[in-house]
Amino acid sequence: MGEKIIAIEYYLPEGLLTNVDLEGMFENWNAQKIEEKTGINCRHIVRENETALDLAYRACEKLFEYYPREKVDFLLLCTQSPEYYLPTTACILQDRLKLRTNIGAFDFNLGCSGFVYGLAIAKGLIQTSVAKSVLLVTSETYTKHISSKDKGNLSIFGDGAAATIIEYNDKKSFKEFILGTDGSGFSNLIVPNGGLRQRYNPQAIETTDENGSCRTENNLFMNGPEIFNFSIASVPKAFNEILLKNSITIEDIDFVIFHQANKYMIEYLRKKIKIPEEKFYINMKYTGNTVSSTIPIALKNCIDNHKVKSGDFVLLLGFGVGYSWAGTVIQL
Amino acid sequence: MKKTEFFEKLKDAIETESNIDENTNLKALNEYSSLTTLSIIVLIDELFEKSLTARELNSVNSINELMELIGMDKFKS
Repeated sequence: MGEKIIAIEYYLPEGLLTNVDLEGMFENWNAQKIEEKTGINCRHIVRENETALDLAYRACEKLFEYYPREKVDFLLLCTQSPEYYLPTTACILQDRLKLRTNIGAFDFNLGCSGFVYGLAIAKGLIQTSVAKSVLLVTSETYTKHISSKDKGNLSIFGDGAAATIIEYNDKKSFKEFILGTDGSGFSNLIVPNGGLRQRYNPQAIETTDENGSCRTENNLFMNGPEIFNFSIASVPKAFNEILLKNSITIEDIDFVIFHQANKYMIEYLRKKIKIPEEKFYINMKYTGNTVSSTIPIALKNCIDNHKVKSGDFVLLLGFGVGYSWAGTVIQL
Repeated sequence: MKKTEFFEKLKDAIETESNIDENTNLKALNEYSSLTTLSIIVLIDELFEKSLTARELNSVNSINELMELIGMDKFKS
């Protein structure tokens, strides 16, 4: 008994934030330099009244132009931008998409590791005969959490959603997974206020960091250098664990897709791990870092552009907020 | 590593035109930004396989202080 990715679609909101826009908004922030370092030229951002649920809905509807929605018997939604504390956004999405009611649905709260985690959950559901057609949706609107005066984070993150169908298949195309967690780094990428530990505070005080970015504790905070340190330490290790657990070497892998955090970081990781350039994907030029959707967006683009083909072994590795990481090898 | 070699590599990483030595104040350089911090982390990982925390890096002003964090035994004049 096995499983396979049958289809992927993604949706990016219409609003655009370009490097030229950012240069106009912030002093000493150069459009060309942003692109050189981050690999990002522009990001798509949601409107005020547009949410992750709306993006998720649009991505799924693109799928249902050719995949029968009646087949879906499990809906997984990965988001850190839910509609409400309760109910789970997946229930609202089930109704909006007019999916069957005799299906399972739930949200799970993860960021950059979320897509690969979703594949692991889908594999488990299929292998235990709980489901035969899993709709895995990743949808994120980090820009809603980011202060309009935070040039660093505004330059990195973009909004977007992806929808992936994983179906029961005779052949096992998902190989072994490695999952990782280190909550000691939880405060390095966080929206401090708005939960029950620290309520949303309309009077929260605005502070300016050493790079000139302003935010309050209601906003997203990222300790860039610490996230960088975490990635440099954990990603090469995780990469080797994936190879080891699957008893393969890098030569057995046709293509590698990492979470597209920023060009500078993943290019350094590629060199450090010694992954050949032609086997490695870097492209976030027109999306920015869309958190849990960077890997499915990359995978879809690679399939459409024939960078990968049916039968290829592709290594996927997501890492970030939590800290949390997840990797696997899939055969297309 | 020779100090002068380190200064050259650091200069490339920061992408500054200014000449730098141990007394240069990193934060006073025009090019210093959040992106520069990442470049320094990468350089130190690459050259010395050492990771500095954000707090340590933020506390650094002069290049001499940065070299002390890395360990003076790693440098020769």
